[in-house]
Amino acid sequence: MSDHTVEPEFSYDQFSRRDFFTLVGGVAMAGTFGAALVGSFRYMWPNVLYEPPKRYKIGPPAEYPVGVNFIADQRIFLVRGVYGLRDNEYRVVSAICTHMGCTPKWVQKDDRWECPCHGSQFNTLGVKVAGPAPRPLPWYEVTVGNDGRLVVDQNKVVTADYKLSI
Amino acid sequence: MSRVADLLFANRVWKSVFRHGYPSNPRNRAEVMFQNVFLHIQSVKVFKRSLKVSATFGLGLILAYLFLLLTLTGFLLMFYYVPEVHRAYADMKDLEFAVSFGVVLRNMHRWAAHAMVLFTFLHMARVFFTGAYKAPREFNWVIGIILLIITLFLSLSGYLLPWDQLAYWAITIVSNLIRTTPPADIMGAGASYLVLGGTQIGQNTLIRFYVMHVFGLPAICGLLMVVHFWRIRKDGGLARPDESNIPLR
Ligand code: HEM
Ligand code: FES
Repeated sequence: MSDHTVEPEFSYDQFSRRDFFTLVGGVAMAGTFGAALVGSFRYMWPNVLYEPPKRYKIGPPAEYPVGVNFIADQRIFLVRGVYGLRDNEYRVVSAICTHMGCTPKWVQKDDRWECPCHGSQFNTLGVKVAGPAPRPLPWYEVTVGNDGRLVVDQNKVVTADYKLSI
Repeated sequence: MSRVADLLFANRVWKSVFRHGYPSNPRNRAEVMFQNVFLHIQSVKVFKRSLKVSATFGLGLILAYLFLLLTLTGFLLMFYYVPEVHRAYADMKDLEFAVSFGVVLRNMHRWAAHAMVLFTFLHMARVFFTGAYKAPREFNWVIGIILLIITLFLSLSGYLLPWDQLAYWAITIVSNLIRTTPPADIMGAGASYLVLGGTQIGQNTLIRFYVMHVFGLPAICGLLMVVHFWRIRKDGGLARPDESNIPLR
């Protein structure tokens, strides 16, 4: 190598050895950091959750009186024997407001759920009658397990006329 | 007297730390700034007008001090607070009732956090009304906006940590806001899954918010503050009314 190299004029037509290595190095760097970034995001995405299951058992049917029962642990309402149901008929509705997720409160004297956060109201079918909630409250499938207790499956959303007869 | 002074200052140890003489002449006064890592953030010379209280009302500096205060009190709070769902609330109670000066530290941290949001808006207002967001300081305004957002995120992430009803429902609402990001089934659901570390608020959420609150966000905030301060000097010091007459450097 001569100790007096003159840099050639830059031109798009010439792709020198140095350009090649710059490109390879750049791609390798971008690939490395890109993979690290993607991997970090993937790392933050948990594969195993220790959350309560979506399908679970509650008490035996007889445990719940006729009317609207709030089951706090699972955040659902169990409706029995009112609003078109006989005493041996049950249905289950979510107690999570479809607006921002607060817990609506059952107001017996007005026959409706009222959300404390932004005032959404839902009628006995779970349909919004006031407030900002964008969707009705979802109803969930409820069946009887082999030990006689009720089984709620939140993976199975049903229509408001679904009912379990015992 | 001068013998004592000589003993103290005219020795190798002192001179190894302070390379300049007593700041009794302009050169040494400049050296004080140049030679000290903490002071060199200030320029050696500033415009008289920039030193007036009414030039800035010290609002940016107040923010920097609040950040320092939050860092120090937060550092101390971390010795008693454990981000675990069964403990977090009880640990807050312990800080209030069982730890000496715990209540003082907790309230300092809380009030400084509120003040930080308030002073950020005041600082922005000052910058806006003095026209200091204009060229060549547009980029510093943009960094300021990011600092504002990080300040708000710091407040939000800190709000969950007591793990009380207020905390829980605030994060419920925020996570549902995130869930509405369109298209909600992919982006919204995915983003909220990442933020909560699952489909509901639980241990994963608490530790995520905690790590962001005590490390992630303060680190970004501190870094951007450094850039923010550096830019003030590179943009020619604080904005002045007569600036438009002076050619840009
Ligand atoms: C963590 C929050 C922040 C800190 C610690 C901070 C700190 C500072 C400090 C110490 C100054 C020097 C002048 C003064 O004291 O007012 C300053 C100037 C400035 N800040 Fe901030 N700041 C913050 C947030 C913001 C925000 C939210 C904005 C606007 C969106 C902003 C825009 C500016 C601009 C443009 C200047 C230059 C003003 C001038 O040259 O007169 N900063 N900041
Ligand atoms: S969360 Fe129910 S109305 Fe907003």
